[in-house]
Amino acid sequence: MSLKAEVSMALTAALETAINTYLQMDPETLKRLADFSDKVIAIELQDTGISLYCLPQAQGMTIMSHYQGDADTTISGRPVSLAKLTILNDTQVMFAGEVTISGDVELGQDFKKLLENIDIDWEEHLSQVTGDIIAHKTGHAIREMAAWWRNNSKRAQQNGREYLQEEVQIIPDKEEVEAFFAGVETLRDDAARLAARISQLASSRADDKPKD
Amino acid sequence: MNDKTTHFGYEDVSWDEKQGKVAGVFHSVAQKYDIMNDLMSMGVHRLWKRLTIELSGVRKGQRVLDIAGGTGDLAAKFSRLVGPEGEVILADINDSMLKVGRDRLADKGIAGNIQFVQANAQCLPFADDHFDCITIAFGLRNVTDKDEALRSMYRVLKPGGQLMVLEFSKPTVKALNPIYDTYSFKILPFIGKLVTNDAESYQYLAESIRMHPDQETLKEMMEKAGFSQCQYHNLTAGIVALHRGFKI
Repeated sequence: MSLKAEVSMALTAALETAINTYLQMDPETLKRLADFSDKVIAIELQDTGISLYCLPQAQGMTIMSHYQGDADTTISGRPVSLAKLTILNDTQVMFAGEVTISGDVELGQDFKKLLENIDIDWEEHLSQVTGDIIAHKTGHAIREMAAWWRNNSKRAQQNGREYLQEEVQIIPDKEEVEAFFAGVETLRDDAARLAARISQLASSRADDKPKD
Repeated sequence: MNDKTTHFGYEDVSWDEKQGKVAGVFHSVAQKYDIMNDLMSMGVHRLWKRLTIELSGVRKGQRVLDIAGGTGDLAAKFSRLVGPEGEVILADINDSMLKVGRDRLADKGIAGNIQFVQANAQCLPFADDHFDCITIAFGLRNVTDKDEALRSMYRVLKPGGQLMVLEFSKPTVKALNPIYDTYSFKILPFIGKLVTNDAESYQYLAESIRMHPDQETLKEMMEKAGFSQCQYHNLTAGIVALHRGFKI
C-alpha cells in the first residue's frame, strides 16, 4: 500500500494547499464557505477511477480522496469537461450532459456559483510586497492588457473564421453544416423506413408460402 | 510503589518514574512541537496523518477520541468530518501540549464539537462502548503500560468501532538502517538543540522509537487486548506503521 497511498496523499495535500492559498486571498469567499460547513461535495473524475471529496468550512477546504459516508452532492464528468466548467465557465457542458450533478442539485449549483464569484484583490496583495504606487500601476497595466485582449481576440477569431470560410473555403459556414446534418438525419430516417418496409415484406412473404 | 522497571529511551527507569520523565519531555517541546515535526520528518508526518484520517472512515454524527492528540492536528480534521452532531475529544496526559492544542484550534475558530480532556491512556475516563473511532498518533510509544492502554481503548470503543495506532516502527528495508540511525541519533538531536535548545528530548525521541514494539509485536498486543481483524500498513518503508483493529 505504502508508496501509492503516500503519493496519493501528497497529491491531495498539494491540491488542498493550493486551493486554500487561493481562497485565503478572498476573505469574503472564505466567510461564505461557512454556509457549506456541514456538507460534503464529491467530484467524480470519470474514466480515471478517482473521486475527490470537498469539505468546505470557514477556515478553508478539506480535500480527501476517500470518504465513507454519503456525499450530499456529486459532480461527475471527464476531467476536460470539469475543467471547461470551472476554468472557462462553459455551462454548455452541463446542457450537453458532459457534466452531471446528482444528489442535492441546488447545493452543487450554489457551490459552483460561490467558486465563480471568488474576487481576489490582487492589487491589495501585491501592494503588501511592492507598495501602493507600483501595485496600482501594475494593476492598471494588466487591466488594460486584458481589455485589449477581450476586444481584439474576438475580432481576430471572426476575421480568421471569415477568411477560412469565404476566401479559401476550406471550412463550411454554419448554414452549410446545418444543412449537411439535416441531410444526414433525413437519410437515416429514410434508411430506417426502408429497413422496416423490407422486414415487413419478408415476413408477409414467409406467411404466404404454402406449408408442407 | 511499583518495583518494576521499564525503559525511558535506552535508560532503564522505574515504572513510576517513566510517566514523569515523559511529561518533562513534552512540557519542554510543547511550544515548538509542530515546527519540530515538520523539520524532523520534512513535512511527511502530515501525509501519514492524512492517510490515518482518510482510512478512519469517520463521518457525520460520529464520536472520535484522539489520544495523545497534543497540538490538535488530527482533532481539527475530525471536527469537520463529524460535523455539529458529532463529537471529538482531544485527550492528552500532558497539560502543556493540551494548552497548545486548545489555543491552536481556538485561533483557527475550530470549536463547538471538540472537548479537551487531560487523561491517561492507561485509564481512560470515559464510558464503555462510547466512541466510533479512537486514534493515537505518535503517542503509544510514550505510554508506560501499553497493554493496559490498549485494554482501556478497547473498553471505550463501540462495538464495530475502529482503533488506529500511528507510530514509528521498524524499517522494512534493512539498507536504510544506517542512514536512519545517523539521522535519528546525530541529526535530530542537533536540530533539537538548534530549534528548541533541547537536544536531550530529541535523543529520547530517537531512543524511544528503537524501544517500541515492531509491527508484528504491536499487532499481537492489539489482538491480546481484544481487538479483531488487526492489520498494519507500513508507511515510508516501515519507518512508520499504521495499525488498525476493530471491536467486534
